[in-house]
Amino acid sequence: MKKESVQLLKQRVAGLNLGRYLALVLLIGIASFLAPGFLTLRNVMNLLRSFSFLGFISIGMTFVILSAGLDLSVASLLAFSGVIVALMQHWGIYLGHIDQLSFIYPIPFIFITVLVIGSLMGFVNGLIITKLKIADFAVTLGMMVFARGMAYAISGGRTIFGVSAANQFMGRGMIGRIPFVAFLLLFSIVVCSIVLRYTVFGKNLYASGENPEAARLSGINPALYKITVYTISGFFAALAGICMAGRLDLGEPRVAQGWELDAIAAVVIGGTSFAGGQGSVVKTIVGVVIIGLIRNILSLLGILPAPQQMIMGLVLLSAVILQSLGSRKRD
Amino acid sequence: MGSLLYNQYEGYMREKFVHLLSDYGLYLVLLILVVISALLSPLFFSYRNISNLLTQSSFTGLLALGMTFVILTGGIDLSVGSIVGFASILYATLLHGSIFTFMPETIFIYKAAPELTPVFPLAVNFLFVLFIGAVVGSISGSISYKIGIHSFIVTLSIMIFIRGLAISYTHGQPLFGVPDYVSFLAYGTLFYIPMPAIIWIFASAISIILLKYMRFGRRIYAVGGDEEAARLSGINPAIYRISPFLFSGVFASLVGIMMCGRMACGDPKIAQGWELDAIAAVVIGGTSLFGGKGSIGGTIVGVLIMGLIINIMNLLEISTYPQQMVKGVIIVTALALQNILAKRSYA
Repeated sequence: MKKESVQLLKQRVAGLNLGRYLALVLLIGIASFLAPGFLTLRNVMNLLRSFSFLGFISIGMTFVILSAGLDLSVASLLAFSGVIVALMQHWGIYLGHIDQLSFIYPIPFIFITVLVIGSLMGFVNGLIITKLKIADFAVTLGMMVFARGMAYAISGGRTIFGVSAANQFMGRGMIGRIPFVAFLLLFSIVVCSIVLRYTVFGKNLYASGENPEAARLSGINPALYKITVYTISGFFAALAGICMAGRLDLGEPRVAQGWELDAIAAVVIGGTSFAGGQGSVVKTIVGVVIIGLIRNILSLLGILPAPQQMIMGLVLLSAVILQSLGSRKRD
Repeated sequence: MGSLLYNQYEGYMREKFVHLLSDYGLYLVLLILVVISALLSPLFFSYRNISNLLTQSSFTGLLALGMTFVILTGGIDLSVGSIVGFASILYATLLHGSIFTFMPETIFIYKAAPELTPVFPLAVNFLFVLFIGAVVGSISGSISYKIGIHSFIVTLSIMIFIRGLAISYTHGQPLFGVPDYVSFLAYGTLFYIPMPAIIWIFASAISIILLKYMRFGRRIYAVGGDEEAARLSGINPAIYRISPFLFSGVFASLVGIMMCGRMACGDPKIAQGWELDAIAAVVIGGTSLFGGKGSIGGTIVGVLIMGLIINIMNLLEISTYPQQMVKGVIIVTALALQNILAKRSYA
């Protein structure tokens, strides 16, 4: 009897997956040890802002991975959206007016257009994957190269300097002492969590990710869900792109290179299973914070970008291995 | 009655046409591309352009050979481009053994003396780099097979890890100075055929023999087609799932050494994105991403098609950015065509 309850307790604790929270506390400890000013309100707010951009694409990635897919195109879509949002505010660039802003149409419509374009490119990903039955990573790899090429092509490989005040607010604005992007991220998390947990859509998404065949037999159309999650992923990539353009005050085709890996790592560290059907947006955000903290600590240690890249490769690999071993044990 | 017969006949012809298209379509595309290139530029058939085209295709071609083995067993290797960069800088380092004495001050790494101070005897340097490539490849293969993670995520991590390693250890600087016999690997000719092409042809021949005429090759197809069935008939899948990655690593490090000769230096930043070219070539060549279907011959044609497309875009003076876009479209289109033709010919 006692043995059983101990076992039950053990299972409960294992089910909580405390490892990642432990890692989080550990990383915060290391960071505040390395940099005395780490836990000041200002720095925390700064970090919050810098995590948000990765946060957006990781939310999208969570949806995709929940459906047992993978989206390698998010970082390129982010860069592409950043370039078009800047370009639409510099319409005169084609006439040689480089320095002054010239809107193609009012700024809210510009935002909407960019979000629609991002969603549309995600939609195309989903459509090709489901209708032509090509592996997810192959299609999104193609889209990754394509969108990055587009970003370079429409900007001529140049940086477009300066965006409007409204766009800057998206990236660097503050409400009180809290960055606007953090609010936006929080809002997205809440909405996505509700959608995933309390709506038919969410339940069906989990079902079709876990076992598409079973879902199909119980009247769900998994293809529809797959297309939707890629559209959502494209939407969030575009949103991140707009905010990023605001944060940097420019449109730049080179931003966010390799972020798809950080997003995947964040989702996996957060405990969303590659096999689909398991995980949540909130968990992903824990993963995002962990990834962000690792990057932050590496920078605090004065480690150059190339070795950082090396370490992030190892982090991703070990996250994937640990998750795979963990899920094997549970089975 | 007559119309029924006619319909049957038409259906038969259509089926035959689809079969022909899926069997010989590739060669048709190759032919069309050659004609287009020839029409675009009178210089296309000059010895210089053809040998140039062959040389450029050889590097992708060698990577694509390894990739074919990997994709035949249902995997994918995204790390090849990084291994090329790493092998290139590693080989250059081995040729300049004297820089090891300056190791604490890394600045000396890229101010290496022009005179060569090989670490090992010449051939051993060469083999050592190939060995490291094999080790990296088998690590990816083993992790992916033993732990049961899809290879693209493993090789993606290995890709950023290896590239980071290569760049961080020389601070991204190239290491100049290679001996003549290495330049010969990239620039030399034998009977008017450029050396890289000869290496590529030789490696292709070995791969074809291995895949077509040996037990090993047949088992690779078996494991790639249906691992469970292969296991039940007494094949140990581990060997056939891991060794393709080893081949891929070896081919990639060979390309790294050849690139050393081509650039006259070891450069950790070369070959970024070449894994995509290799994958595209393999996919164009008709090898299925699900494994078990495809051939080296198809891959060679795929490499030539890719090379011709790039050559045509260069002739049309299209800049590199749109070229990238076109590559993305090519990969997806080739996969889509593959699926559609496969569905038709088995329906």
